[in-house]
Amino acid sequence: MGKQKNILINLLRVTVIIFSVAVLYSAAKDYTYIDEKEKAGYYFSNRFENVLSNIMDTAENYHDMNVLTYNETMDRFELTPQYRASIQDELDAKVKEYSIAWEEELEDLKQRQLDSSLYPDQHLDIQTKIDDLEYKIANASAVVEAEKVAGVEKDLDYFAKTLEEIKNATIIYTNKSVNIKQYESMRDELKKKAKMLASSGEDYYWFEVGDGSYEIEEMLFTRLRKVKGRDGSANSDNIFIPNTINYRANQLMDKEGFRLFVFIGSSSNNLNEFDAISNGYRLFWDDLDRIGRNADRQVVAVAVAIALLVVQYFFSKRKMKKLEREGKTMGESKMDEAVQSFLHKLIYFVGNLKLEAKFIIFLIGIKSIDSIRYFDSSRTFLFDIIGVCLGLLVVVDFVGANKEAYLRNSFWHQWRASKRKRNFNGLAKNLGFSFDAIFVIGAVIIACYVLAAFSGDLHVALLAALFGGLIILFIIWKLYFKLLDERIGYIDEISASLDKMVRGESGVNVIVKEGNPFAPLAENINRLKEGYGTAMEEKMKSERMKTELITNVSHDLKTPLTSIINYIDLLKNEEVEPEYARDYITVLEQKAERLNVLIQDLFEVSKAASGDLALEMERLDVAQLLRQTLAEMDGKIEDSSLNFVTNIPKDSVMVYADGKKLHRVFDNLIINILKYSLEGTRVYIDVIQNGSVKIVMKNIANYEMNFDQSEIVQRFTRGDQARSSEGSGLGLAIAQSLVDLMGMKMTIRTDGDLFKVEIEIDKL
Amino acid sequence: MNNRVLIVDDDREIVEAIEIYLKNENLDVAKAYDGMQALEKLAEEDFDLIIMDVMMPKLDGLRATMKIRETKNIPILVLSAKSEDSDKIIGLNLGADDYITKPFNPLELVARVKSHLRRYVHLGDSSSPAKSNELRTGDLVLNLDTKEAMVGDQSIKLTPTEYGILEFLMRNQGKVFSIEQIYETVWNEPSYNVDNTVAVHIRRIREKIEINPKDPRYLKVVWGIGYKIERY
Repeated sequence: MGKQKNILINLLRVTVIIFSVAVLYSAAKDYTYIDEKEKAGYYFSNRFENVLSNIMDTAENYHDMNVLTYNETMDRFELTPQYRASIQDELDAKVKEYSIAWEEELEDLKQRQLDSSLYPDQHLDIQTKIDDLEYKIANASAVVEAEKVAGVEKDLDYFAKTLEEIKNATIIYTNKSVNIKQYESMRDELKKKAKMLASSGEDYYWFEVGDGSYEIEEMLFTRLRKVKGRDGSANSDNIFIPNTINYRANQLMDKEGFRLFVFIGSSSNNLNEFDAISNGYRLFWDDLDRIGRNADRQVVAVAVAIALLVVQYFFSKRKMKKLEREGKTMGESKMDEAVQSFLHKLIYFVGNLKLEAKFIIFLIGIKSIDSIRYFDSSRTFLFDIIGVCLGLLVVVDFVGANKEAYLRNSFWHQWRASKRKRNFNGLAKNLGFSFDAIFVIGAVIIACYVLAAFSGDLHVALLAALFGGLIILFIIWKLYFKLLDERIGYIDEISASLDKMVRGESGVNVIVKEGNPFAPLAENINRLKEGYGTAMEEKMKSERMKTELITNVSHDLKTPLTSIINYIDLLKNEEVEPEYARDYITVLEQKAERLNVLIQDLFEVSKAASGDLALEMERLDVAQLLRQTLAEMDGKIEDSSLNFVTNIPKDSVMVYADGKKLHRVFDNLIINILKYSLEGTRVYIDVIQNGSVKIVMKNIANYEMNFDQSEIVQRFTRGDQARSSEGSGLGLAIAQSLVDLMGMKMTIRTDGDLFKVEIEIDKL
Repeated sequence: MNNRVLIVDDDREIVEAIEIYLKNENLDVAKAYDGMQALEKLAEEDFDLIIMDVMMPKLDGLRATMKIRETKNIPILVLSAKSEDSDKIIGLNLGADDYITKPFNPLELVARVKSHLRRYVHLGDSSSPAKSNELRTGDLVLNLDTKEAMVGDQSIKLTPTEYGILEFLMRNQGKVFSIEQIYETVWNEPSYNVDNTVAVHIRRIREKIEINPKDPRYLKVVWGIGYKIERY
């Protein structure tokens, strides 16, 4: 078994390590992915804003040129001096050209004016034209500039129209959902149009923007990378990183006659719904965030697992070292045990589960593997990892288990077994916590999966599953308590019947409900009661017989003894011959008296031991009682050579006792002392109060106490064994019985020749 | 005329022994050997006292006592081998005047018989009212004027302290007094370290006034509580 377990443990370890590596790899992949995505993300996130603002700015700028002078426009766009100079030269040339033309026209008009002086109305018309031309010549440069502005305005109109056209085209295309192919064809079509629009092969700039859908973004991104490092010169299909668009726009302004084209490929949104798009990007960021967090969590989970293993390893090492220091060697198995206890617990936990629960866990594990397989970060939960771990544990557990026992450890098996036995005890016991908890947990998990699959919203699924789980739990509890109620109800009945029995009501039997698991209990109680009744009857009979016997025997002994004593007394008064016969009579008298005492004591000890004595317990002063007892024996004490040293409190010491019987106890003890004390010694009688009341009597024995302490109170055992002197030898036995009867405690100790009796009474 | 005593016991030897003792005291004796015989004897003639055994064939002593008590008021001394308190109490409650356990001391029996006869025959069957200068219980009389104690017709010699204790207890018959109370009343000083003085005095008094000091009739010990004089 040990070897098998070791294999299991090692298998489990390898599994944990492989799995940790896999998880770490997945996390690393996630991180790279995040890195790339993040770059793309910056590009995407600012894109619309930048592009749109650039478009709008450019449009605005061109529009503004309507009202601005050409030079102002040039100032505004911060044209380079060379460019300015070239423009100026051009203007000057134009002015020259126009001036010559205008002057020639003026000469011509002046000539015509002279020719037509006869026609005053013609003359006036010509004069107007001359004035106009003279103005033009005088203000040649201003006129040229105005013309240029008009030309630019014309251009702008043209551009605005184009932009509008592009926009319209975009909207038309983007209302459909696109795949890459459609996107490409859309793009090409638009590009063709753009090229055509861009004054046949002149410089133009091309902006291309995706909509955030994965494939398009990826494609754009690939293209971006391809382009990277190349100069974004004229005539090329350039994609500009929007961060540089302002710079580019400025650059564009340096050149004349550029054309700006923006292609916005959108699958489900359009330019006018800017908010919706930006919202989409926020989600994108959230997604990115979550991937990051998941990756973090994976790493943390693995780190924690590894940390646990490491901590455990060091703990076990320390333990081993400690044991070594203590001079103990740790067996290999022990060492293994220390290292593996954490894993053992896991395996033990899984091993104890019912087959059904294991199956559910196994399914969860498979499902988790399925979701982890894709390394799709957005769907990789810590939950999946745990699921896979548990699933693997179940497999390991199964591999290492005794198959027969393994299959038998199931609810189904137990249910069948309990049904066969018509006994729910076993099931009820196992139902307790595990049944409820595992079924509810299982139900919740399954419901989670099902609902999540249908609704696509994990939160809703979780809530619904929890609620469903609670309902299931409630139903199970209801059923369980109903089952329990039946049984407890019956237990109540049994209990009520038992109460009656205890109170001594005759003829009460516990009702036996066939089929109820507690029926055997009821039957057994009935049987027990019968047995007990019989035993009690027997006992009472024998007690009665015993008491009767004692009474009768003592009566039968006393009656002849009365005659003996009486006739000895009568004989004493007679004149008896010979003289020494009187001595015989004395012996007879003494022995008759001894017999009398013996019979009395025997009677008393039997009564006391059988507990057949009525007690008259009352509050009394034990100090006074002891004093009274000593006073009653004053004569005998004085006659003896003993010196009684008493230490009895002056104040009353109240206890609860039967006065006559306690007196008898003291009497017997003191008689004992008088009989068996060494001559001339001291006898100590103390009453000690601390918590309880202790009456202690100590004397020095006049013989060697070579007996067992427990033996001394045994009936007929006397200290000296020889039984030569008077007394029955029952004194201590009677005292012991009476003390027991009154619920007090008597202890006898001997120490050399010291004989010590101690009676302990509860203080009132 | 001699007083007549009826002795009832199924043990003939005991009856005869008692007969010898009583005859020595000049008492007339009749004998019966069971309860039925006793009742028959009583129907035939009058007696001044009955000594009755308990366990007898035909009719036991206690039943016989009850029967007799239905008509007669004469003293009945129950004689029994049963020595327990409960037996004594039952006997006395059923109408017995005294309860003597077997085996008995012949002298004690005679003394008790005489005591009962004296009270019944000479002083009347019911306890006569005490004279103003006397304290009395049963046969025990204390003369307050002469400071004399009498048991029956016997004078008892008491020391002043003993007399003081006896007078105090006699004045409060039936009441129990602790050693301290007795000391404070009789010695008239606070009981400080009383020791066994009172208890020893009481034992001496008892030896003087009781027929059997071990089974006192008048001055009784209430163990752990005190002493009292029994009221008769």
